[in-house]
Formats: sequence, structure tokens, C-alpha cells
Amino acid sequence: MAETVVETVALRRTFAGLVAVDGLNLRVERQQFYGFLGPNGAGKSTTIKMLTGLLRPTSGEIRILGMDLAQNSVAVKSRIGVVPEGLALFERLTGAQLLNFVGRMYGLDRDMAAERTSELLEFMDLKDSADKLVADYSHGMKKKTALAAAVIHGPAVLFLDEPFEGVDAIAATTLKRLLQRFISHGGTVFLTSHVLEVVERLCTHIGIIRQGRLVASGSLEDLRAGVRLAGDEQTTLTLEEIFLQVVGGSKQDAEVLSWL
Amino acid sequence: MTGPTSHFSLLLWLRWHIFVNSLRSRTKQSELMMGVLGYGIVALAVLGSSFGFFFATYTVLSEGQTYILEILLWVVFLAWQLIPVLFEGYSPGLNFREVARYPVSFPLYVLLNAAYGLFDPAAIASLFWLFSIWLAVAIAHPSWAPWAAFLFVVFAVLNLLCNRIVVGVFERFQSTRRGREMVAAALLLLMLLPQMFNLAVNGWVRVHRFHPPQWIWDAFATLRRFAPPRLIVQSMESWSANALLGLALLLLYPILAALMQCRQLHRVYSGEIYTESFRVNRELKIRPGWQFPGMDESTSAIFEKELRYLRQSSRLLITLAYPLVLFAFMLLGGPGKRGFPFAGGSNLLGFFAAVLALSIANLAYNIFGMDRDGFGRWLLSPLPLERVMRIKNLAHAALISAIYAAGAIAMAVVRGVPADTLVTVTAGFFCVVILQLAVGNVVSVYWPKRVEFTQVTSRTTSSAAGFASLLVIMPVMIIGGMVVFITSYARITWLPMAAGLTGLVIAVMAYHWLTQWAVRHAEENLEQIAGELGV
Repeated sequence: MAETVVETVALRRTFAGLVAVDGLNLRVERQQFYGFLGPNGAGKSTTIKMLTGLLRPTSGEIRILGMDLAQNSVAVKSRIGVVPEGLALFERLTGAQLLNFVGRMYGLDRDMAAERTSELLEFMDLKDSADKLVADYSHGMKKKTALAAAVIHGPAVLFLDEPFEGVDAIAATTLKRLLQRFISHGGTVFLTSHVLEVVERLCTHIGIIRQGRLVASGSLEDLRAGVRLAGDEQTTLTLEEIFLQVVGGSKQDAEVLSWL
Repeated sequence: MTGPTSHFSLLLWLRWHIFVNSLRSRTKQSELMMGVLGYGIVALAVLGSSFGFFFATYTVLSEGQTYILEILLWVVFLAWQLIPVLFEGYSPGLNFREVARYPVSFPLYVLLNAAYGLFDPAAIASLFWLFSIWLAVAIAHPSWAPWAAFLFVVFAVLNLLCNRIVVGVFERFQSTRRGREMVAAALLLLMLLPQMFNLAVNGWVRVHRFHPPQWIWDAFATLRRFAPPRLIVQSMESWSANALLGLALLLLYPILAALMQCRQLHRVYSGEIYTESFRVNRELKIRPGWQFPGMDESTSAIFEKELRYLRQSSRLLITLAYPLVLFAFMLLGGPGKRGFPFAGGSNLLGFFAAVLALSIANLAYNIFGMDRDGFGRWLLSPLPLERVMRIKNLAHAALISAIYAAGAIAMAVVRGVPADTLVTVTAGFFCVVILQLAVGNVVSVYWPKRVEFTQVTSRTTSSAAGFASLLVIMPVMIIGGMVVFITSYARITWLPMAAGLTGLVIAVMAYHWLTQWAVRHAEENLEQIAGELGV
């Protein structure tokens, strides 16, 4: 039986009476590439913040790599890597200094931190900008740096909040290469994304959240089998079609913006 | 579609709304009142100074002292050029290069740029002054009036063009992060200069009289001879060949300025983009991070990060260097003419320690402010937040202590300080520093503030920090005063040292208690703090 690396039980978070996440039960197994989807405001970022210790749940349990996050937060944090929503970069350091710093924060010794920094900068095509302040990086460069910072200590699980948002095709390819390499070496990825095509191409498993509740979960094939277009049982659905079926359809906008 | 006239009215509308919104953005009613009052005072000052220009011009012309008229024109020139640049440094406002993105032709863009400059408050004030001068000229010498009007129009056009060139260069400089930070640091230095001047005037520091070499005077004389104010006065006074040559030169200036302005604007209009320049590292060689003796990897890494951040912030460096510069002046210059209240070595050391202990507030009262979005990185790292805060405190305390140690050693060598005084002052210094760090930790998580490196007006701590700092300083000052009084009254010579060491122990205990309180609050309000520090 596959090892469960991320598990939540009745996870709930409220903000001044507003329920952002409501009784979420998630299960992600080792080497899964788990895509967590949902419309804006569905609770994706709140969930990933709770899973990574950036936000306390109102109630419920979180177990990462078999450890209770609330009880073992330091031990859990040392074995996960995170690219959070705001990237959380120290922008007044150069790219090289930042990666070096993060590596040492995770307990790597000076030489190993420097060695991995060098390798990551090379892999991410950031070599020429190694001495530039992160504040002066483009958005795509910052995303790549954040991903490099998330993997420098060799985590077992990666949590990525919208890693492909605002990233050009070249940078996205680099990110995908790194993630696939990570999975093939036994890692697990949990990511949220709006880019459904990317999720469809990369993810092995998908969870769809709507209004704080998990409304669909499983492998892409499972979801395709479970959601069918009315009157057409044979056509294979795209992830976008599944997504729209599960969370609700689009509005008819033929009557608005008639001048456009 | 709209015509060029509507572009100008749109620009005027924009200027007006920037002004109105600058009032509306003030959060509190009292600040709004202060803002309205402030603008009212400025308007009155412009009106009052216009009367001043009028009467000064009339008087000097009546007495035949036309060289003073030249000075008045210099005042107008400098005000027109410098005030917009200084205010530009405080608030970015509208960057005029953005207008080039809209569908306007190049000639219209040039005209709009000039009009935008003409609607500037400093330009309006300068025009008021220039008109006042002209009015006085017209009354004192009616025959000069038409000719003076022409010369003043030329002068106004030259001023306008020069101002737009200067603002253009400034905007170009401000378009890079490094440029904005350099401007912020330069303006901060300018703000500190009057304080140094005040100390020199009051005789607290000795400043040797500066005698500029002759070539500087010669250069000034040449500049004056060919400068527009001199040429205007000369042209008004006579029609000699010299004056006509001067007039030709005066007319040449706006033409040259217009050519320069067109060249500058054309580059912007064509889509010139400025980006940060940096050294490309082709040979990638990553040096290992700094290792501090007796510290583990993560502590050394945080120490290194904090010191690198301080080195990156010109503003904090200036604030930290200020006590040291002041101290060096006092130590080497000695008391000035009016006598210095801290003339003795012991008192001077105490003064230095007090100034330094106060200056740590800039670091201690907003320990995550410079990290901004990076605050989240502390939460993601496998280090308890309490440890992060303690290491940050240690880094800041180490820096301040190093400055204090340098000052104390210099003092001991130059002036000589008794050992018991050194121990007492040092204990008192660390007592205040530790208390500041402790209260600073609480303030940092209760009232976190994102530090903006490129804005001069952006504070490095929240408003609450000032009050909290007072809560530390006031009791310390009262207790210190009582100790000094009892010591001198009852002649208990060991009391200051005992009080200093006791204060140190109490400060350490308070530090532990307050830091744990701060950590508890931070852990319960992580998202709120991250939100305050993030974008």
C-alpha cells in the first residue's frame, strides 16, 4: 500500500465568521503529482497555507509524512519545500546569497549550501543574474528562485501555490523539468494552479475545491469516468470540461460589452 | 475624439486631482486639517513673499543697487529648479514619461510636457514672484516696463525648460531602484546637515573656519557674468555693445535648452527604457556564506543576512553612522566657544552611549520591517520564530555594541575614562539596549510596518514605536536621575555601578518575558503580520 504523505481530517478555517475551508479531507500519496484546483476564492491558498504552517487551522488535523503538523512543525518544515503565494523572498539579497542563506537555514553546511546554490542557479538559467539583487529580478526569475529555494535542502514533499502564474514559456519549461525530476526521484508535489492545461499535462491526481469543500478528488482517469457530458458517454473530457462541470458553468456574455 | 486643447485641460484636471487626492489620502481627520492648513500657509507664504519681492525690487531700483535685483532673480531661478526636484524625491507623483504611452504626437507631447511643468506649484509661485519684480520695475522705471516684460518672459521660458530638463534627468534616475534609493539617502543626508550646522553654531562641535581658494571665487565671478540674472539686469540698464552681446547670449540659452529638451523628450517618446545595471557573472563561483565563531550554521546565516540587509540600506547606515560622526566631532574638536556641557571624558562617553542606545530603536522596533514579503520565509523555515527573533536581536545588538566599543576605546585613549565609570556607563548602555530590544520585539509583532526603501517619508518603524520607546526611556531617565542625585547628595560612590548592574539583570529578565509574549502574539496572528509586511 502506498505511503500517505499529506493527509487532512475535517480541516476547517474561518475568518471572522466567513468559512474559507470547510471540513476538508485530503489524502496525497508518495510520488503523486497532486493538482489542487478551484475557482478564485475557493480556499486553495488557505489550504496550502495551513498545510505548510503559514496559517493555523480553526479545527481539524494535518498530517505530513506521518507527523502531526501542530505537534511537530519544526520536523515537518525541515522535510518539506514551499513556494508560497507571495514567494517570501528576501529581495535585498542577491539570488546566490538568498539560496545560500536558505540552504544554511535548513541545516546544510556552508560548502554544501554553496555547491547546491551553484547547481540550482545553473539549472534554472539564473547563472548570469547570480550577483543581482532579487528585488531587480523579473517575475519569472523570482518564481524560479523561489522554487530553487524550496528544493535546496532536498525535501520529500513540495507545496507550490500557483507556480506557473505569470511565468513565460521558457521559465515554465524549466520549472516543469525540475518538478518531473523531483517526482521521478521519489518526491511528492502538491500544487495549486489556474492553468488547467499545465495541470492536465503534469498532474497524476487532482482535487477540486469549491466554496471550501472538496467536490472531486482522484486520478485524472477516475475523474473522467465520474464526470460525463450529458448524452455523450464516449468523448474523453478535458480537464477544463471536468472543472466546469464540477464547479459550475460559464456565464453567457453575448449581451454585455457589445461595443467591444 | 478630442483635440489638443482638451489635452491641456485634461492635464490641468490631472494636476488638480493629484493635489486634491493628496489631501483625501490622509487617513485621519486631524491630519487632513493639518494638510489643508499647511497648503493655506504655503499659499499665504507665496503671496507674502511676492509682496517682499515687489518691495525689495522697488527699493533697490530706487536706490540704484541693481545687483540686488540680480540676487532676486537668482532666488527665483533656484526655487523654480530645486523645489520640484525636492518634492519629486518625497513622492513619485506622476512620472511624465508615462504620458508618451498615450496616442499623442511628438510636438503635442513636448507642449504637454511644458504645460505640465507650468502647472507645477513651484512654477506658479515663481511666476508670482517674477510678476511682482516686473511690477516693481514698471513702477520704479516705467520706461523699462515693456523691455523688462520681454526679458522676464525669456527668463520664464528658460526656467521652465531648465526645470523640465532637470525633472527629466531626475525621473530617469528615479526609474531604477538603485537610483531611487540613492536619492532617498541623499535627501536624508541633506536633512541631517542642518542638525550638524545647529551643533556647530551652538558651539557643541568645533569647526575650523573654511577659506575657499581664489579659483573658486574666480569661477563664481565668471558664472555670475554669463548667468541669465546678470544678463537681464545688464540688458535693462543699458544698450551698450556689451549689453547687446549679453542679450544675444540670453536669447541663445532658451534655444539651447529647447534643443536639449527636445532631444531628451524624443528619447523618451521613442520608448527609451531604463533598467538596473549589474555585473554579469559569467564565471559562476558561489562563495560559501559567512561563518561567525561560536555560532551554528543557521545562526551564522541569519547574522549574515541581517548584516547584508543593513549594508544594503543607506538610510539605516546614515542613521547609525550619525552618532559616530557626532562623537568624532566632539572627541577631536572638543568644546567650542560657548562651552560643551559634556566636556569631560566620562560625561562624553555617557552622552555617546545614550545617543547610541536610542538609535537602536530604528532596528529594534520593527525587526521584520525590512524583510517585507521575506517574513514568510521565517515561518517556512525549520526554526522556531522565537529563535529567529533572538538571533536578529543579537545581530543588531552586536552591531551597536561594536560601534559603542569603538567609541569607548577611542574615548579611553584620547580623554581617559576611569574604570568604574566605564563599567557603569557600559552596564547602563546594555541595560537600555536590551530593554529596547525587548520592547521592540513586542512592537514589531503588534505594529509591524513594511519598510519602503525608496521613499524618504517612509518611516522605518510604526508610529507606536515612538511611544513605546518613550516608555523605555522615561523610567530609565527618572531612575538614572535619582541615582545621580542620591550619589551626589549622600556621597555613595558605589551606587551608580550597583544601579547599572542591577538594571542590566532586570533588563535581561524583562527581555525573556517580553520576547515570549511577543512570540505568542506572533504565532496567533501570523497572517495578519504577513499581510502588513507584504504587498
